[in-house]
Amino acid sequence: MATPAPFLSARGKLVLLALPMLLFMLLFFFIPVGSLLVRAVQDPELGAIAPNLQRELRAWDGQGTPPDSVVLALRDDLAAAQKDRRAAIVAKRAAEADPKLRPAIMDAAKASLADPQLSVQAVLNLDPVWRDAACWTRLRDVFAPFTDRYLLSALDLKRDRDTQEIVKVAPDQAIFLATLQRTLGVSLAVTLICLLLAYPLAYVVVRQGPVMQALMLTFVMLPFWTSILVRSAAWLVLLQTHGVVNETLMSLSIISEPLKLVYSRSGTILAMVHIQLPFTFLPIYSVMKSVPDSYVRAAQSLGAKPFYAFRRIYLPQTLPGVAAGCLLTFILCLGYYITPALLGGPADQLLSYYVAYYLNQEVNWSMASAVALMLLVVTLVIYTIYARFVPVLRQVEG
Amino acid sequence: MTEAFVSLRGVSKSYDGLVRVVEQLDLDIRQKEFLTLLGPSGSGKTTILTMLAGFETPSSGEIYMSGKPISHVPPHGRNIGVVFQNYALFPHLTVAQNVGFPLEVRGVAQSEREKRVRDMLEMVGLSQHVARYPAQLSGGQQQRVALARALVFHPDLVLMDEPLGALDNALRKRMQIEIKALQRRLGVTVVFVTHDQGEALVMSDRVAVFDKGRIQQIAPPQEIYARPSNAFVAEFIGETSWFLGEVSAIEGEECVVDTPAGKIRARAASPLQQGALVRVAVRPEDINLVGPDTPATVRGVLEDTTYLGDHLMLTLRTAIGTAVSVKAPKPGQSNPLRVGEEFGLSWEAHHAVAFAEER
Repeated sequence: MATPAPFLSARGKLVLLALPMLLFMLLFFFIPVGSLLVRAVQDPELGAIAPNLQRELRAWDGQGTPPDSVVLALRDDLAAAQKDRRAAIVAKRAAEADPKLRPAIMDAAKASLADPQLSVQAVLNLDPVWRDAACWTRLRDVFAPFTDRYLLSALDLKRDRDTQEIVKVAPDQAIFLATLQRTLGVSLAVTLICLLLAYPLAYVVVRQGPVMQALMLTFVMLPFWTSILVRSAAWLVLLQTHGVVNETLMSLSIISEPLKLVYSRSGTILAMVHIQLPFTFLPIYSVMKSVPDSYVRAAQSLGAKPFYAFRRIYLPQTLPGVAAGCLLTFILCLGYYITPALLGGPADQLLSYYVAYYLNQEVNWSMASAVALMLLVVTLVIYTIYARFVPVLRQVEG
Repeated sequence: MTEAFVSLRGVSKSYDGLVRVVEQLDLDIRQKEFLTLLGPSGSGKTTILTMLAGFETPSSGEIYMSGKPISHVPPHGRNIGVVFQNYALFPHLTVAQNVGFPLEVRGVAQSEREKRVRDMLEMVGLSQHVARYPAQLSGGQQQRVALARALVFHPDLVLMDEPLGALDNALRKRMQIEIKALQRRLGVTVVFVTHDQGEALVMSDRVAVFDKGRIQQIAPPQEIYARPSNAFVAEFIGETSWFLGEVSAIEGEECVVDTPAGKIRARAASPLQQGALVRVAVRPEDINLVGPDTPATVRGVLEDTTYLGDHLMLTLRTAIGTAVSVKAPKPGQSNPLRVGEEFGLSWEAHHAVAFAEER
């Protein structure tokens, strides 16, 4: 008798088990993040003010003079925009492509509002700009629904107004590349300090009895269980100009005037190290736990002095933990916001600060998305480079 | 006799200051001998190995090597090869790098190192696997690498901590013979720790039987088996049936023991007094099975037979309930042994050994 075919194949069951998580990731991670990132290249501003004009301009192929429908859409939409006092926004954006367009648009908007029945010819006669085919082409480009201007400015670049070539922005406006460099630098410093603290600590903890080990782990994990905001605020209390640390040092006459511990790079790094330490520690600790003592004993019995046995036998076997702990800390550091915002000065803000700044202060979602996209790309690039080299280290596992 | 190469004098070890894992141990290891430390787990044999290797220091007493005290010499200064229970092969190094490690540490030049590694691997039959990582090898191959690594630097002494425990039976038997042959060929002194008495008997020049941190007997395998010096050794090595009784007469080396199963003549393991409580040990292979009517030392009813291929192991029970194991040849087709039948059991007096028992 043939066994009845199972209701689901083994693979089917696995897919079914993973389905809730996949759906969750899709709905609450990939779709929101994806749609936010699309904002970086979208330009919804002008389309909202002058929808008909945008539609007609995009329908036109951009060759020669535009058809009447474009001119009529310009008249109607500008009249409507002028009523809401939003025509100036269109004029400002158009001026970025061609300064001559600003007065032309403002005049057209006022004339259209005054006489909604203005003829095509009358509109074209309002300003010499409207009889210049090149100006219409430029206006068409201004109304493009997708743009690279946000991405370019996240890289401190812009398109030259006349040549449309990509050029660097003026040095006083260039902030993002320097911030990116600072973000990478601070993350690297925090990662290295965490490694220097976590590795010896893990080595000590692994060598304790079960009770002592549990106790030490609790102390390491304690900061892990407190909110980052609370901890950053606590550091602020400790480190501020008249805070606990400065007051103590001054009362002991170790220093004569308060050290600048907050609103500085060192304060930011100190607090970040404190928060990141468990993330670096735990992977190293768990890998160390899996490396039996017998390896180092074997090395020593074969004639290796303790440090040589450590360097040649123990260290290579713990590198996967080091790699994982450092990667985790480095990538988490790239996205730090609250801690530098509370404890750092204006020159210590990381990339995330600008994401928040554009969202909360400027309400410029496109710019926020562009900066976030840059952060995401940098993170992925670093991860890829890392993943390319870490397997070489992992070969130890055979 | 060869003089002692390594000596332990009054060595005790306690980890907590209360329980002594090793008690006042005196032990001499001779040059080029294969000495096995045999005992149940917790008998202190591995602790002795650990102290010889230098991973632990004796709580009291001293270890001498070639006459020099070495208790406080670190492991890397002792020139002792160790084969660990789990082999402890370095997982991130290849077979060749593993075996070359002790030479690398000693600063042996690359070409010389490669040659010695190659020769050593050939000796253990692993020449084809030099570039593999330990995880790519079978258990037996890993064992050989560990062996090669512990021997390649010509150590003065090689310590092996239950190295064959993880192998299957057939492979274990083969490795026992190979290790023994290798040891003879290289003329190296080996201290081997095991809880497997068969392994100890097959491989060793001498066996030291341990219990509760003390040596119970140290002697060549034949002597350990044939003339156990106390009840623990008799019990631990080989199979033994026991009769509890009182000494009723002493005749030179031999004594007569009154047991509930009958009068038994036995050789006394130590001088005995008349009226002393003793336990008499008899090996299964020394007992002869006779018919129910023939005169015999004791009588018993056949309770169980276990087929072991080349022979049978019979379990008989005496009238007072003592179980007796008897090794019997395979019976012919004509007279099969029936469970429930009564038999007589007899043996020669010198095959039974009487051990004094605490009252």
